[in-house]
Formats: sequence, C-alpha cells, structure tokens
Amino acid sequence: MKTRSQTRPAAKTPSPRNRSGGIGAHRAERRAGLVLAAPFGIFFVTFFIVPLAYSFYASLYRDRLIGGLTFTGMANYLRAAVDPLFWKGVLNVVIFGSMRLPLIMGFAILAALLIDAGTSKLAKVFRIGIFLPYAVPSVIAALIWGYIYGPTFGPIAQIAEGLGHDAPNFFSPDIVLGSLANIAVWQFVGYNTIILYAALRSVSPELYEAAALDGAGALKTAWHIKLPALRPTLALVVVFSLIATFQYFTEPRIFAAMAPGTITPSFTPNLYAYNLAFTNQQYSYSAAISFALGVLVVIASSAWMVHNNRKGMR
Amino acid sequence: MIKKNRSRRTWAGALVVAVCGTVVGLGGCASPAEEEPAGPPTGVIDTSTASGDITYWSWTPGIEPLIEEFERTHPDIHVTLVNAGQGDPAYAKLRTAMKAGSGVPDVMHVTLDTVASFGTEFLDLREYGASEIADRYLPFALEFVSQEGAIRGLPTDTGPMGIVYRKSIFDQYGIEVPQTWDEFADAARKLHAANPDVFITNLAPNESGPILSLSSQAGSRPFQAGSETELQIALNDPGAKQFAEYWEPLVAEGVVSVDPAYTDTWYKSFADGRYASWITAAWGPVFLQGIVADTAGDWRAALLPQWEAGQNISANFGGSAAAVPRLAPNKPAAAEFAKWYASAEFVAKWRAENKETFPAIKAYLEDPEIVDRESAFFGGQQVVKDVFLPSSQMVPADYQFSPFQDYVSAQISAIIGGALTQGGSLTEAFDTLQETVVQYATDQGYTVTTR
Repeated sequence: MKTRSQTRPAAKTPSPRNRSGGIGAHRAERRAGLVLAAPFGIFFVTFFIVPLAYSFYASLYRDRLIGGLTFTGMANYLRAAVDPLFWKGVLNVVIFGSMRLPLIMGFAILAALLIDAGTSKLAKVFRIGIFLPYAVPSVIAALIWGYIYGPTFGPIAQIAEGLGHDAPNFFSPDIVLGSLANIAVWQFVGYNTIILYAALRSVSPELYEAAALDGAGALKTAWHIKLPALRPTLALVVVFSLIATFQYFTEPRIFAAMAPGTITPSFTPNLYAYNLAFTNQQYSYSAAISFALGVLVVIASSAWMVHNNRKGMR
Repeated sequence: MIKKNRSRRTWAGALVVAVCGTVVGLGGCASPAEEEPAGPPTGVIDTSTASGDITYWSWTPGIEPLIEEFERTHPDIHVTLVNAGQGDPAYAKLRTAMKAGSGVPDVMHVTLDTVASFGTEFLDLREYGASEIADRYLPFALEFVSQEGAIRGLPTDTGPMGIVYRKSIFDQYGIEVPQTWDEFADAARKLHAANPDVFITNLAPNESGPILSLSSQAGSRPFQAGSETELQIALNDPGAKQFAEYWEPLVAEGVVSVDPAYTDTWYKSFADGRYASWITAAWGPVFLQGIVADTAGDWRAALLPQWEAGQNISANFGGSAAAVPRLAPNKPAAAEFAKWYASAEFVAKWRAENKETFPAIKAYLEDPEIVDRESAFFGGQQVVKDVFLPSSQMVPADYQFSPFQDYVSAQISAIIGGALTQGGSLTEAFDTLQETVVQYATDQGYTVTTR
C-alpha cells in the first residue's frame, strides 16, 4: 500500500510527497476493499448477525399457547440456569466430548505421522481411505451405524449370536454415548488427519536435515520436530471439535427413532432447543437455550485458547 | 376438541344416536342435546366457483390419480402436490411457515389426533359450507376435527383398530384368535415358550398412537377440554393404569417385544415372522405390503380383544383430515378441494382399493364395492365387513386429544417408551407423564384440572 501511494504520484509529479494524489489512490483502494468485502459482509450480516440479534430479541419474551407473547426480560435465562434438562444435556455432550476428543486427536496425530513418514503408494490409499467417512453425510452415517448397532438383525448382534453370546445393547442409556462417540471417531479422524498432515508438510526440510545430522531417528524426529510443529494446528482443530461437540445434533436426532426413551428430546442442548421450538412450540425459550449454549461454547473454546497461549509462552 | 357448544352437541348427538342404534353399551352414547342447531357463522362462502392455483401438502404416496380427477372435475383449479414429510416433520415445516407468515400450503394433510393442536390456525370450514357434509362423517371422526363447534378439518380416512396376524404362525403353534386380553396374554406366553424367537406382538415404545388408543379401549380419557383456557388432564387415569398393569408383566417376561416402530428391526421382524401379529388400524397393512410381500395372503385380521368377555369396545388409531390453514393464499379453492377430497365417492373408493384406507363417511360403509371387497393381502378375507366396519362402530365418540398433541406424543415416547425399553415401572411412568404434561400445560397458560 505504501509503495503504491508513494510511487504512483511520483511518476506524475516531481514531488514525491504529493499528498492529495496519495489520498486519492488511498480512497480508490479503500473503495475496492469495501466492494470486495461486501459480498462477505452482506452474507455475514444477513445470515449471522441478524438471526443472532433476532433470536436474542426473541429470547427476551415468553410465548404461550394461552396468553400469547409477553416481555419477560432475562427470565428465560434464569430458567435455563436451573433447568435440569438443559444441564443434563450439557453433561451428556461433555461426557461425549471427553470420549471423542482425545480419541479423534490421538488417532489423527498417529495417522498424520504415518502418512507423512510413508512414501509408498499405500500411504495414498490409506490417506483416501481414512478420509472417506468424512465424505459420508452425517445423517447417512447415523443410519449406517444404527443398522450396525441394531439389537436383533444388526451384524454385531448376529455375529455375537453366532458365537453364542449376547451383543451389548448399543442403545442402552449406559453406553449410548460411547456408541455415538464411536461414530464421531469413525467420521472425523480422517478430516483431522488431513489438516494435521498439511501442517506437517509445511515443516521446513532443513529442520529434518539438521535432525538427521544430529543423529535423530524417525521416532526422535517425530517426537522433537513433528509433534511440536503440530501444536498450533492441533490447538485450532481442537477448537473446531469442541464447538462441534457442544452443538451435537444430527446423530442423536436420527438415533432418537431407534432408541426412544434413551435419546430423550433434551438429550443434547441443541436437540433440546430444536424440540422446544418445533415440538413444544416454546420458541422464546428455545432461543434462550440456543443463546445459552452459544455462551457455553464461547467460554469453553476461550478457556482452551487461553490455556494454550499460556502453554505456548512457557 | 375444546368444549362442545350447543350446535356441535346437537349434530354430533344425532350421529351418536345413529350408532347407538346398532351397538349397545357405549360410553359415547350420551343422550343428545335438544337445542336447535345454531348453524354456521353467517355468510357461508360459496366455493363451487372457486378458481386458481392451490398447494396440497400430503405424504400419502401415489395419490396423483386423485389430483388428476379433481382437476378434471374442477378445470379452473390447479393443484400442486408437495410431500413435506410424514407427520411430525411436516407439522414442523407447517408451523415454521405459519410463524413466518409465508409459504403456508392451501390444504394440509393432518392426522386426526393433531387437528386440535393447530386450533384456530386452521380455518373453520363451516364458513366454506362444510356444515352441509358434516353429518355424513363417522361421529368419532367428526369429534376429532371439531373444536367449540368449529370444523377445523374434514376427515379423509379413519383408523378403526384390529389385530392383523399371521395365520400360519397362529396355526403352527395352535394359537386361537384371542377374544379377550386375558386370552391374548396366555397366547403370548404360550407362543414365546414354544418358540423363543417369536413374539405374539410388538409394543412400539416410540409410537404414542397405539398406547393412547389401547388405553382408551380400557376407558382412558386423558384430555377433556373445558373453555378455551381450561383443560382437564388425566393421563394416569384408571384406563391408562389398566393398560400399564396389563402390558408391564408381558414386557418384563419378554413375551412381547418392544422394538421401535418403522425401524429396520421392525420391518425385518415382520418379514421374518418374528412378530406373529400387529395391533394396528385398518391402514396398517399399507406399511407392510411392500416389506412382507412373501407372506401376502397369509395375513388375517380380527377384532381387538376385549377387557371383559362380551364387551364391544374398540378404538381408533390414526386416520387423517384435510385442513385449510388460516394463512392459505387461496382459501375458497382450498376449501373446495378439502371438501371434495374428504367426501367424494371417487376418492373413498380409489383409496380403499389402492391404499386399504378406511372411509370416514358413513354412506361408503354401505357400499358393497368397499365393504365386500376381498383383500388379496388378507388371503381373500373381507376385512372391512368382518373386522374394520364393526370396529368403527365400536369406537367411543367422546375421545379428545390435547391441544398440543405433538408435545404429548414426544413425551410418551420419552417417558413411556423409556419405561418399556429400560424395564422401568409402566404404571409409575404414566404418573411421571401426567406430572410432566400438567407442568407443561400450566406453563402454557392453561387452567389445568386433574381427576
């Protein structure tokens, strides 16, 4: 920017410090910037800011079948703060996250290191194979796994029966979160692997050379160079994963038909918000639950980032 | 479904008398009111000259021939058929469109149990001449679509219940068609003991319809509307408890399965003969025909078992109506279509023939083409004449659904379904259900009474 505003007028006039010309070019550039940013800005405002503002506005009311809409201020939030259904849902996603996060990240790091170390064609096949589940839409994935988990005719139940055992009931309250976490691992390891692998590719070859000169083997290189190089990317994908965990919706929504009573209408906070709006017709409270969930997501991801920055500084 | 005012009582009462003439001992056979009919609101709009485009949301597959017939007889009206999902997903879309104030269909397919939940969001079709055809409907069907005298939809079909069973399985294990629920329980134990891979039936934990309907057969009346803001809720009344006490041991012993309906397991269990029967409505076999094609012809239908030998009480499960939303863009044409779709002889016959649906109009139950039809699926049995027609005449006409039935259904799946699949106490589950729904109704501003 500076170069342009200095050199352009210089070509026109002898004075290199022609201020008016500089500002003119500056303005044109700003205009171009605005025009280029406009499409994003319009979409951002229309599909993010406006709905956000609207749902916050809606959450300040109470709508009832009898009596209609009344302004209640923060009452919905106070109600959410002590709503056992909401907090049970939050607890469910926290348990779910504590299973899926370490598993996904662990497998993804391992797979990324393996792909990065591998040179044969097998690495390419492996790379595509591990990514493939991510290409399956989550509704389809939930249906596939619903079939696999099926208590009577599912393949696992059939094999177990063939061996003379009872298969565990994957839809029972005690293990359904594990069954769901398993689907998430299957689906997201590949996605995270690709991102981490890309980060590994950007490591300067000089570092590897230096390590090799210092006599580091493959394992030592992985430990001392590759893993530290992954850290910033890892911090990012964990944030994505955290957000997805808190907003968990699709799979439980599909599983609800197969496991009624276990996947209750308030099984996850997002499912709760959905059912409040579309089954219970409690739109205002649904908006409040959504907003409260958003706040929790911000808190959780901020906490993670602060924690990471501190660690980075040490 | 709210309080019956004078006019409603009168013509409904007249219909009840018609039914009471043939069946004795019905809870619904109260003495009719004496008042003169108040008549519809002034200024009935003539829909016979309506024209223009309308949109009809329905999930019934393959009804294009009906639309073509309507357009042939009503050349000035063009109908666009949209499948917006079955049941709850369709209602969620409809509610969203209503909330947004745009995109609302002109005519909506809605199940009989949900008409009341939309309340005044559906037009009172008396304003469009529905009173003229109202007395043609089965009384219990008309009750479901009526609200304080208003007609919020017109019934297109009904779901008198029966047992649909596999003859070869019953024969193989020497099971007689049970006449009472006690006999049914004995048969359940006998069948499962003879072959542990076979269950006499499946009680689906995710389907509120049969749970409510079978309770209603035991006398349960969970909702009674007072004025617009008053509601009596008794989901744990003696009828419901009787249902719970009956099924709880059968489920606990494992002689009745509790797989969720409309899942892979459920369909395959019918195909494989894992369930020997399905307690369902007249329309039930439509769901099976494609799945159990191999066993078509092996199926038979029978009346519901009775709680006491010699009783004649049945129940309704499902059935649909055509309703016109308040925000419909072309109301006169929409009303014309709804009236035609819910009453034309062509529609009733086509649907009976192709979809096994049971008419909502009394006159068609005297039509030999519908009544005497031999069903290939049922091995040539005249199921309408034998089972569903008598069943429809034994459905009490005083049953009411709640004004928030989507919520109640979801809670039944969660609470009753939870007890069924997780081995909890079914009777306690009905108490929990009652508490939960009362809490919700109170939150929603109703003045709730219990009994």
